[in-house]
Amino acid sequence: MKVKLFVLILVGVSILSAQTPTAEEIVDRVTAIMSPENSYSKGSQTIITSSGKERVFEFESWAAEKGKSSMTRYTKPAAIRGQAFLMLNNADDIWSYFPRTKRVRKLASHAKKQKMQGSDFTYEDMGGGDVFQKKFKSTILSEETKDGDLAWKIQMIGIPDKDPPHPKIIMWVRQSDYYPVALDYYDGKDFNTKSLVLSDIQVIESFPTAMTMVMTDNKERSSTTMKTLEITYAWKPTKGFFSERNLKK
Amino acid sequence: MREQLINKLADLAVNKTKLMLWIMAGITLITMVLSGGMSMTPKWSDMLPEGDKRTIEFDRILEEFQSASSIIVVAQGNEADIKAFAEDLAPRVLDSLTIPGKDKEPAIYVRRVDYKADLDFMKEHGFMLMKEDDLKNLKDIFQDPGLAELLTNMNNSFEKEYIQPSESMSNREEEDGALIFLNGINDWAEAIGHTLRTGSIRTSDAEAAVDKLLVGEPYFLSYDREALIMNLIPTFSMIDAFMIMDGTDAVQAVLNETLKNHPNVQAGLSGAIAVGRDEMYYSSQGLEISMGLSFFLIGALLYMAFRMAMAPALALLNLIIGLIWAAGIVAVVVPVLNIMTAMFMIILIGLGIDFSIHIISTFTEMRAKGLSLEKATLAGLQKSGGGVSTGALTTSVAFLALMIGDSRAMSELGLVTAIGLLAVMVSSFVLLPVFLVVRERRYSKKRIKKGLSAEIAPRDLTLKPLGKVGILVQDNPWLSIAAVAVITILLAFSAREITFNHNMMDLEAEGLPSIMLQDTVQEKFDLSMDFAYLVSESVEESRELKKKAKELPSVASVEDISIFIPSPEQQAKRVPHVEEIHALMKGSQVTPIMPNDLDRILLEIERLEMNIMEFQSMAFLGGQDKVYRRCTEIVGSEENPPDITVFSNIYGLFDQGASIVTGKLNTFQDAYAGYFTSSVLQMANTSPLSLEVLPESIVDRYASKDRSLFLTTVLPSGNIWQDRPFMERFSIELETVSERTTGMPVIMNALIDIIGRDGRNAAYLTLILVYLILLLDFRSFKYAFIAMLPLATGAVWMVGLMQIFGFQLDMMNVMALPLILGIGIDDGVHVVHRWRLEGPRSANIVLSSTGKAVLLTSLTTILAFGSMMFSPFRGYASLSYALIFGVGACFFTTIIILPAFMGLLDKRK
Repeated sequence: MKVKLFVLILVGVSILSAQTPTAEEIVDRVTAIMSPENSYSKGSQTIITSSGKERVFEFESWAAEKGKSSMTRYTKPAAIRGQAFLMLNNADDIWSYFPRTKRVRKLASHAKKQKMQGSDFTYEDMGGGDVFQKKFKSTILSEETKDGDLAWKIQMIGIPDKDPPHPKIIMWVRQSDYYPVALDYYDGKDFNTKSLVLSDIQVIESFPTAMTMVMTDNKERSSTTMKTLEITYAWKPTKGFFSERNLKK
Repeated sequence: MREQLINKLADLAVNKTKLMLWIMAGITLITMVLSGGMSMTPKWSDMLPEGDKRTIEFDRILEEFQSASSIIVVAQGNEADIKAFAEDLAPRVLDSLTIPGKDKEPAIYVRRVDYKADLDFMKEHGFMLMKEDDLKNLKDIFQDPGLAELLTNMNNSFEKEYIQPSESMSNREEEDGALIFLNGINDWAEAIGHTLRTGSIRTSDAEAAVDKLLVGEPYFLSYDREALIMNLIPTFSMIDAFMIMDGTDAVQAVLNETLKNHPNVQAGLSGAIAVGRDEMYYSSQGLEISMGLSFFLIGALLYMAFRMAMAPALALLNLIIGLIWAAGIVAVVVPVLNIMTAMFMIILIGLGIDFSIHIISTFTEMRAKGLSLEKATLAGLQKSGGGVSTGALTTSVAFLALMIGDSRAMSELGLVTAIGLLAVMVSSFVLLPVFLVVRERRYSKKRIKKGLSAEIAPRDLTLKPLGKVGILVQDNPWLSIAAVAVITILLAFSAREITFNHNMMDLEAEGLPSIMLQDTVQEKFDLSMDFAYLVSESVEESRELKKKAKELPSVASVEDISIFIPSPEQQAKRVPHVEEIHALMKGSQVTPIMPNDLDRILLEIERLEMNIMEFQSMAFLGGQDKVYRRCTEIVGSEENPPDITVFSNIYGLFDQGASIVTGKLNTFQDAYAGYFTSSVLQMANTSPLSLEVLPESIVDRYASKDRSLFLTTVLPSGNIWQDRPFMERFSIELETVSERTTGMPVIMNALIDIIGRDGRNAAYLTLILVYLILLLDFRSFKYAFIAMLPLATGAVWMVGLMQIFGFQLDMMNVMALPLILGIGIDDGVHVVHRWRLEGPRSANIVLSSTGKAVLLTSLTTILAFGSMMFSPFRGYASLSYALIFGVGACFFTTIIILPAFMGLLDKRK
């Protein structure tokens, strides 16, 4: 009887351990899901201005090469209609076009660590490309329920010589589809500087997609809401799409 | 013993009337003199526990730092007008000033006026005060003062800055820096436009444009440049209560006089001292109005109730004398009242008149029954004395229980009110019978003179309807108890829903000029006056504290002396850049502008305009409203293009012909270039910055009088009044930087916690003590318990009703909870006393007689507290509403619950 019980436990443990992926595997799956080859979307971005007012922008966005190249063009409001940003090499190179002066200006290379167009997002926050895989060492902290879904709580510690965008990130990954539902970003003093919540997750063309993302800056006490109004992953870029010339169109 | 004392007092009143009057007059005179020593403090910190580190530190800051006690002048109008007003007012306030309406010698109330930055110091050390990164970005501008080169360098520098927009505008300080840069460029472009239009420019205007470009705006202007702040450093501090009134009034008078010369300017006073003055003035005025109103209303009520003028007059006279005695004793025990204790007089009016009502009620009742003067006096005191003394004792004990708290707000209020209440009780026992005897004798004499009988015809002064209510409840005890139980349960659920309003601003007076101007300063300057303070003992420590505080998530900005004294390491890093600027400028030579330079100059001006337009777009996207607005003022916006901008004006003026334009631009260049060169060379001074080289106006702002302590001012990043968790976090985080953190946010955070805790503890203690007193008085657990029942249910009703009528608890009305325990108990005590005297089935007589007195005392208390509704201080009004609900609820629970229990117990007998 005792032997039978021991064998049963052993089999159970083996099955369980075979089913639980490693932290690296989870992060790989997250990266794959979060980086579709191409995409075209329309969205809105809501920020709180320095005088406490709410300001909503609408934009179109194109991305290719799993987010390595992207372009965003603002459509509303009138004050910035036509202003566009082109990001190449995972936002290492950023250009901006100003329709009023008809000039294209290159931003400094360190701009990707800065706030993205006045929002609480930085260009790097979303882990575009393979940032999470290459610049962090991940471990599973626990399994817990997050907003009603069973999720893995992953701790990602930045690898110092890889120039990680944050020293530490805690990410909750939904077990059902490997989609991240929340991320907490920490600074060097282990203070939770920002928190990102992804919600209204819909499967669009077989890709789970968060239609709403809210980033809260815990220091500045501000928050930015990004909503996806329309998205397709079937879009394919034409040759030279991600170019300075196209930026001006 | 109580009976013996009462008999003696009745005897003295009837047989030693004159002697008693003389003794009382003497006591009144002495206490009147003593009460003159009473004063009031407007500081909220004085409500914290004595010895509290935050209070000690706050007082030390007020004592040691001139800048912590300032009068702020806020002027509004167009830029030129408010600057002219400031120039006019500044020397006037430094003169000897008189106080309007007061016969006092003129005195100097203002030590210094800060309304402009110290430009001389900035021009002496400007570059060493710049951060290394800024020097790297901006040094290109200072290579060549020639117009074409300067414009090119300005654009290069602008674009260099532009490529780091998020970094440069990520916080308020950086946004302010961008605005200084934009303002400088705007004035520079305006100076070019002016010269192109008129062909000349005054040297002073050209130099002002250079100063604006190099060191920024000297006046403390708002972001829209339609408001200006002047900081008046007084010769006194917030601690000098009397000087606050005199000094502020004197400055206000000068300001009013100056405004006559500037009809387009509006100006007023704000800041800690002006707010303190307004608070003292309006709270005193409010309390005076409340006292007057409550006397009038109570007198009118008593006149209606007793149907005679003399009795209410005597009751009020007795009350006034009791209040004088109370004020005299309080002045010795607690000579300085705070905002909370200042209202003790109103509480005493509301509660003190009750003693007179009970005594007069029974006295007139006995006289109406035909008893002689002697017997009526004795019977009046005997029948009401027990209730009055026990009621006064329980109420006093309830107030004394407030002393269990740490906060001076509660403990001092408890002490002064308890002392006052006992003083009024003594006067009611000692003086009122004497008054009643005198009045009766005079009345009898008049009647005899008129040939009438000396004795008054018996009259029934009881309130029959209340007696009927008593019978009804007594005959249906279970129905009444069930009804009360249902109502109490429903109101208890309602009470659980009540929320707490932590916003102290909702307790402040509405519409006070100084407080309204605080809002103006917040709106126009984005500057909160609710900052925290940190004190350090050296510049190095101050720098370290600033660094730590800036890293806190709840901190928006930090200001301290280290802005003007960078660390030796920082200074060492800046020196090479400053030396480079010096060398470049020294080697530069200005060449006259030639006609073939015009295209380049025009191109650079267009480039400058485009740079501002792009800056504007990035500011819009970045939510940097102030920068966006300023850019829009300079270059307009695409969706609403203005008819003319500073740049379009310049483009139009370039059509005058090459030689004319060249000549005019040379005039402009000649006017500014020399000054620009000399200013840059002067600013490129690498001599070390230390405390010794700072001008007094700067050092005074941050250092103590003896220069041994340094003040760091910390602004919170959120609204401390509307977000209590944030206020708590801000205080806790700052305490990790320094244990000696103080200032309004920290003090108020502590006060809210302490008052909440004190209130809860005092309420528990009051319940226990009141029960013990009742036990001693009635010598029966049963009667003590029954007497407390109306109070317990009344307290629940009070909070439940407040919630139903949309009230929230706040820091003032939360005090009503322990207070009502002391006030509300009286109703039950009087009714149970009379019930025990009258015997079984006596609900009719108890309620029609004592019930009437209880109704009257409840109404007088409601009227007294209700009069605070008219106080400009919403905190007093908030407390008054809570007490009205409480007193009203206790009355109703008394007349319903007690006859029901009388009925039940009588049935058993």
